[in-house]
Amino acid sequence: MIEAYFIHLLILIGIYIILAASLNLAMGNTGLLNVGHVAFYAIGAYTSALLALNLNIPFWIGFLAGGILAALFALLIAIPTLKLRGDYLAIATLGLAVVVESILRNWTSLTRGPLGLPGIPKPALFGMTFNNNSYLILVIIFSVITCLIIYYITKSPFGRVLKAIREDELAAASLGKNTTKYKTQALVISAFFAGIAGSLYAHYINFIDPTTFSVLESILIISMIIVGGLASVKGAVIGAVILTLLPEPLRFLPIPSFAIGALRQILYALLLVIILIKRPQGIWGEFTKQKENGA
Amino acid sequence: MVLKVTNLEKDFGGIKAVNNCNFEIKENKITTLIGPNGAGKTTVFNLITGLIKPDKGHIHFRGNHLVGLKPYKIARLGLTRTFQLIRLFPKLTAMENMLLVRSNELERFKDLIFNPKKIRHEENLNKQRCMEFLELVGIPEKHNFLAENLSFGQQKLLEIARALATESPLILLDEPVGGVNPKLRDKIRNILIKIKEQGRTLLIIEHDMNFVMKISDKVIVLDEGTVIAEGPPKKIQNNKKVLDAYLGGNKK
Amino acid sequence: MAFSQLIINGLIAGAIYALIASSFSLIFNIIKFMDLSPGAIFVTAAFSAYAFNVLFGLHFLIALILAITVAVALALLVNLIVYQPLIKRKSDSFTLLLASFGVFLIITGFILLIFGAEVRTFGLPITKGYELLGFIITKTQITLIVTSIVVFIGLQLFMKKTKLGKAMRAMADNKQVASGIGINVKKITNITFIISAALAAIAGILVGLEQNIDHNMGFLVILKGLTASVIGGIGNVPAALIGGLIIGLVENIGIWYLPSGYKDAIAFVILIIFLIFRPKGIFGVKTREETSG
Repeated sequence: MIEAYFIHLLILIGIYIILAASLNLAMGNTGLLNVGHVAFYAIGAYTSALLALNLNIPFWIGFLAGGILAALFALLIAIPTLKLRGDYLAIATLGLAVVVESILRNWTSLTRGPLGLPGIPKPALFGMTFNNNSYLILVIIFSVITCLIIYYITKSPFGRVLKAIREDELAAASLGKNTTKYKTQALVISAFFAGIAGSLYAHYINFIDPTTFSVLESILIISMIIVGGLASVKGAVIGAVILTLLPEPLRFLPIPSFAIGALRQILYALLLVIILIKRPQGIWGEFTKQKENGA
Repeated sequence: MVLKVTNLEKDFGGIKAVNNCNFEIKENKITTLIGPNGAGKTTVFNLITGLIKPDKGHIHFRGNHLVGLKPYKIARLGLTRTFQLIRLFPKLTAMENMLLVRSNELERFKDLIFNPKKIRHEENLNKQRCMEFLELVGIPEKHNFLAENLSFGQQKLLEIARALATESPLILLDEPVGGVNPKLRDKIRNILIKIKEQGRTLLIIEHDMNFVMKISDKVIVLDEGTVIAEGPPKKIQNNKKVLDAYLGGNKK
Repeated sequence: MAFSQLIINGLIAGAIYALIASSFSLIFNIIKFMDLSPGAIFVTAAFSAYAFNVLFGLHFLIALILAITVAVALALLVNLIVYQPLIKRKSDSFTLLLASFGVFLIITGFILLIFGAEVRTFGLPITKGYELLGFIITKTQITLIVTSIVVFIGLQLFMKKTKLGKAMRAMADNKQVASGIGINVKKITNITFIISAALAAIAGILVGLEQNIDHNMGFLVILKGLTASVIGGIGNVPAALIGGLIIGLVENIGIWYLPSGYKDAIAFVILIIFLIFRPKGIFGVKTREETSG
């Protein structure tokens, strides 16, 4: 029982690592204020789940489809907003999160609305089904690959332009960089990985409904990268571990579930605000470099 | 002739910032652009680099018409500038700041997937080349420092190194020794002269007359948007029109 | 339901969005960041009024004044302990927006903790509505519309005619210049938060009177208020008013054609359309676009 609980937590941590690391690419490295990362997570989860349930499409194709559809939605949001100042992206992504949740709730013929989608199959490979223990291995592989890819991107010349855009977009443009194109690519890549995370979640938990993908989930992911530290893959991992585990003890308190929900919400948000005020570079942020290099 | 400006005019809400401005820059020379505050020096830079469009006139750069081109297109033709105020990326290291100006061709996401070898190879070459420029300006040991952790003088040097790293044949420098102490000023002067000796052409805006007189092959004096005098430093020093313009400009 | 009824419903919703939009755009214009906390102030006011009136049995008018006071005090407290330290450190608008999101969740989290998840009503006697031209309008709804109109006229007069209003507009134009000509920036900041909170509080109480209240009501309202101010052009009071009315009307008329569940999504579709074709909004004078590339 306890072992199963730990495996469950580890799988969740793995999925959140993918979400946090991917959001970090857009938000920490490029400075894009994406407050609706959860929308891409939801799109990935529902796409892959619906493909599996309705068309018997195996997970291995479904998860790619989920990632790609999430990336397409990111492109759709990026085109009108990334030419504008950063704040507009915040509203647009928040809006996207609401629209996506609204569609999940109301397109009942497809998504079954608030009833959710039960019986999402676990992935199988060569006749072997991934059950809890082996699913953990699958999640670990996916999250390690995601982190490596994102690390590789951020250390590349492409990633360097993203950072330059975050620091001073006008200066980057005056060096001949097409900043809108780079911002769009960063958002699309970030959304792709969120889509994959959604698919991994759906096929693990076997049942998804719109409540899993509320905007609170977005703020949780944001808190993870702020707590861990912006623009650092290591930070995203640490943030994901801390924030997944932090509210777990609440589960054992003898209080009604709405109060647990409220306390979780307060805990995440309080941590976010305190870190923003007291330690803006996060626990393991790139900005701690100052200390290593400072004269 | 590297650069030729003819009949340039720019009007800002009824005020002629640049008025019938004509001058030429010769290859492999240091030309300085001086003039009292508000004479239109920075506006001329902005017009040349395409940040603003002239109302009238032509700008020729090595056989190309620059008027109407986007700033980044002009930059790619081989014309680089620095700004009056330092504009580095503060949270990028000195080396990263340098590399940014050399890697426009390496930054495509596509290549990251399909051509990683080429990226790695050229990135290494660029790093070596950038290191040479950092050595030239005398801050090679700072390559791994965040730009914001460098002193003001080191930031100035880094900006000059970055302009050099573009390998542009023509470099426009807006007040390279503004706010800098005499020791660093002389250092920058030596660096710029060394660059000239390597075959590049410089156009410099500067207020520091000591610096201007020592470094220039040719001085162009701008007043109210028009060239009122040009020639070697010695000749300019004794030009009556120039003295008048400066006295007039300082009256206030 | 008659079509004219949808128009009336749209106007009522629009009035609320317009109040929130003004609350939001005051802070955006003067303090220069996107503040989501008015959404939480809105919920706080509604629940405080409910508590004072229904739980403690105070007269409605007293409850109303106390609720606005609580809301204003909360906004000032948030400014003092969250925003000021960040502004002092010269944080970017990005950090302030995130902090305000955090503040929003902390406040609504506490409201959920205290009042629980169930839906509350003020328990006003349900009066039969007046029937006019094919639509029904209740006394409360008339109160809501009249109150909003009075508040908007008052706000517009305050901004245009009074010394404080002019100081606020000066600070919106340029903070440095404003402080240079002797405007007390700290005082104006606090006054901005006070007025902004009062507007959000009035909206919250009006919604509480007209509909139910629950801890979740703030989120959609602040999002639509934000959208309304973008559509109007994040500029002045009339812009917020027009933006709010457009959202209110379009989403209520929209459900004539679409399932009502999509009501909340409609506002954002309009937002995207505006962002593509007219990002400056209807009244946008200042260009908010950055030149890039």
